[in-house]
Amino acid sequence: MKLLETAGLTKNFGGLVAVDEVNFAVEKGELKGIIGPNGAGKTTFFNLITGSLKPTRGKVSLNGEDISGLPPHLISRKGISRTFQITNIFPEMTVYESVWAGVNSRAKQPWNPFIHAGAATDISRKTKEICQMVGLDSKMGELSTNLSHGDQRVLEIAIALSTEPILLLLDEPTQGVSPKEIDTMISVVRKVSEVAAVVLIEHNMDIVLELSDNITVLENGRTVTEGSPSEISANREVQKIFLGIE
Amino acid sequence: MERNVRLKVIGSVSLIVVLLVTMLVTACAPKSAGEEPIKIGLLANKTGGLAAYGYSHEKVAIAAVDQLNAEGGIAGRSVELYVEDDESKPSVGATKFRKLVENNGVDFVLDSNSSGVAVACCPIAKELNTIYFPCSSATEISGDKGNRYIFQACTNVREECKGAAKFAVDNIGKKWVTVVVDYSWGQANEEAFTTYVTQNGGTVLASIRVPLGTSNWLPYLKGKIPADAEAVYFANFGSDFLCFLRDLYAVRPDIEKLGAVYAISARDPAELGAPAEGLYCLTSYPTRLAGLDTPGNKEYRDIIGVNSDGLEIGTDKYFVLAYDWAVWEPIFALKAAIEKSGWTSKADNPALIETLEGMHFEAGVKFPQGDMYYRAADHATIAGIYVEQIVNGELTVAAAVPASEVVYTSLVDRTKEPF
Amino acid sequence: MPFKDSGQGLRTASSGFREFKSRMSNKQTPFVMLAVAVVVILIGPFLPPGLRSLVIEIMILCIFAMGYDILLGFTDQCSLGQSIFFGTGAYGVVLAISYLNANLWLALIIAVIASIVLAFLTGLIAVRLSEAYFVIITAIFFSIFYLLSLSMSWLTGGDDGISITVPSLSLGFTELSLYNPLVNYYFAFFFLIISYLILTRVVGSPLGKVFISIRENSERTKFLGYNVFRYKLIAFILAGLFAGLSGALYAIRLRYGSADFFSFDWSVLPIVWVLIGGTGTLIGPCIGVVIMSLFQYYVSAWWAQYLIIVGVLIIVILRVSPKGIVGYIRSRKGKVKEKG
Repeated sequence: MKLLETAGLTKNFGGLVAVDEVNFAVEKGELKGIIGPNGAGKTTFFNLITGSLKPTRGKVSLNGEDISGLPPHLISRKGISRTFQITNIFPEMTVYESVWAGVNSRAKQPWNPFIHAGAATDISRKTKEICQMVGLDSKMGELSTNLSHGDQRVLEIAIALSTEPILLLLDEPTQGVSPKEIDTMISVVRKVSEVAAVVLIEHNMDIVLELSDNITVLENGRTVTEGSPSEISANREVQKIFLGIE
Repeated sequence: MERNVRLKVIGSVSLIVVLLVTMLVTACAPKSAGEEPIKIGLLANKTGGLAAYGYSHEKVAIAAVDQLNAEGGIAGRSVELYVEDDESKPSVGATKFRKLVENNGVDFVLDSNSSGVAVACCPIAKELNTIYFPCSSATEISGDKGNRYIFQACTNVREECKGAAKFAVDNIGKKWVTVVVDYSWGQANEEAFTTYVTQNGGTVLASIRVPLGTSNWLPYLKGKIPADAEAVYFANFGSDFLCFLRDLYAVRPDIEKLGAVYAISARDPAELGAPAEGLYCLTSYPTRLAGLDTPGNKEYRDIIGVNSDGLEIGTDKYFVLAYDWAVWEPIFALKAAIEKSGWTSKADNPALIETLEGMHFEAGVKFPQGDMYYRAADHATIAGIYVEQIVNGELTVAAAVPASEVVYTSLVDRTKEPF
Repeated sequence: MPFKDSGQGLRTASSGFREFKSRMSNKQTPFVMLAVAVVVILIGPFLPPGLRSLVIEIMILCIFAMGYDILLGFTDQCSLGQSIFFGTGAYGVVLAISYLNANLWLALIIAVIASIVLAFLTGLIAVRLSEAYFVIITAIFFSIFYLLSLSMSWLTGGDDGISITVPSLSLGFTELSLYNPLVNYYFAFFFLIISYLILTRVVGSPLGKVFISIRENSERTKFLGYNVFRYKLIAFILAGLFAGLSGALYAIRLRYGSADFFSFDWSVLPIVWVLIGGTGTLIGPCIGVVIMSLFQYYVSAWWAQYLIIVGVLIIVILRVSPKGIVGYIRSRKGKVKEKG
């Protein structure tokens, strides 16, 4: 059984077909890349899986269970987490608090009004572990708005990790990240792929080719082709799409 | 920029600190020894919906106290006036009532024209052993919402409707429709007018209630006034009154109109135009001197500074003369009662109250509205009322209803109430 | 708190946690609050009666303000309908005493439960809506309740209101009369302390932290698996609860309830308190109450249009520090720490 499978997933916005009959699958432990030009429907695809949008047609299954059209918080509970192309963090909360929020959501009583938040030692421990995993443990007390853009993108991933997902959808994690910090990002994504299956949308070809087990190419909402990194980089159609080579 | 910001904050904080210190100091200021003045508090509607009332009430109260002091004060003691703003809200009124007594140390409190404020303050007056003369017309103030420390300084709705009903049925029409704003004052007018019109042989065919602040009265009037209705009794004021007048004229231009006390307060009848022509309105005090041309009334009007048309001399603002007399007269009533009973401090309140109960006062400059008395049983002001009419854009008095016709059986007997 | 750069995970982890803990509950705050509480308790008998009445009023309104901060300051819900619960709390007490002959505690319980139920019902409809619509619908609810309270004067006394005789306060071993100003003072203070303790604990608890993350980014909070609607509803109910408690205490203090308690003023005042004092701080709105009440009590006697001064003050405060007075004090403390 596939970890995540979409069958004929389609999204229409009025006359515009943003995602067109996409069949996609992820196995446990896989790191799959998705590439495509702007407007190819990649982020919309993520939105369909995570519940931001309801599919017009088609199905999304997680471990065989149909999760199409569920609201975002329930899909998160099923074990799917995502990051966002435009940084979507908690501005006036520290790194620690931001990750803590996610870890707390899996606690038995996340709504507990009686105990002091710091008293839940389990949650504190897990929070620290996640911060360590992504390398932000030295900056746990920093306000999110004060971080460098690269660190914010890493925090973006840490927040997604905090809910112990089995599948992580990363939407252009290196967006706007300076060349110095890209290596950090790459090692973070690698580490993360050890604990969850990952689907990675990226514009940076080198990164996608280096990290992915498998790459899907989207254009105009449709799957153009699929294959291993070497197959994709040799593929003439793909080259046409991206490099304009005839 | 830092420095600017810091200056601003220092400025604001300093202001607050200075205010706080001044307040604490004045709050704890020791009382001066020797012959203490008698302190009267005025709980005026200086701001809020009834701001027009507070404006003239304050001036009239100040004029009264000045007059009193010029004549030697009360029992040889000078009189001091303290004015607080109730913002036309009961919660603020209650707070300011307490402030007048607890902070300023007043011996007596006059006014608020707002029934809510008056009702809220009645129990506080008794609690703080302070005799209170509210200037609001809610019948219950001389009923179950008042107590022995309360003397309702103006005529109440029940008196007004009772007094008006006979004139209304005899001279305006037998078949009536009531149109009132849907809150206490309007509802009370509807109920009292219906009762007394029926008693006098008339009928009320329909009772229409309209929410406060409605600008379009057509949905409430069109098709709702029976064809055989001859007259409308209305209770609204301010912008509600203007919208009502306009829309009623559109629906039934022929119908007679009688307004409750308040309705055309502070309004220039000439500006109301054709819809208001022939309109009757109740009042406890005629707007124009011609309506009550007595020497006492003339002198009173000169002292408070209004001309023969009821406008303040110098500013041409309308005084709310319909109620100003109920701020003026209690001050002189107190003088008479204090000097008669030998009151020297609040400890003597029971004797003063008993003196006021049933005390009669004769028309004159001190009681310009006419002869009046405080009925012992319910402390209501028993006085005559007037029916004014707009004729050729001017207010004239159509009838004077004597006090005997407004009297109704008292709802309570305060003389049995312990102090 | 300066961070020592060390490679040892444990040391940096714990300094992060310490920072976290101190942000959770500022260590100085409990001492300051305790000091303030002691002062308030001790000066009770020595205050001049006018000032004491004012302090009682301030204490009761602080409960209202803190509850509103949970709504506006912690979950970004700008409700224009809190007067619904304030009025309900007031009438809960007034009607219970008038018609049911209830004793004081029963009347309070009825008032608070009525507010909770009403907050739940109105919240079910209102909280689902997004920002602007939420504001509008709470304003609509307020209008409905206000006009109903004016119209149904057979029940509410309309704007004339209903006066009550407050039954004595029975404490098991003794009976105290609330007509004694000192009893009134400590009675109000008791509820202020309880409200403060409850709300502080809520704010420092996991529930409070979820509120904050909803405020900071409610969309992302959904993606973390939280049913954000339910949490916002809890915040709404909490605010309604404390507004109702405040209204009940206010009616007891005034021995009076009227349609005025449902009026727009009581919906707008909480916003003013919170803006002046600082959102999301709990103590900030209390400072807002103090300032507004002082202005109304004292400045109004000098200049009836004191609201103009208040308006200017709000503009100045918001320009200098969008997070109000408390926000400004905290940011200055932060800057001092950085430099030092």
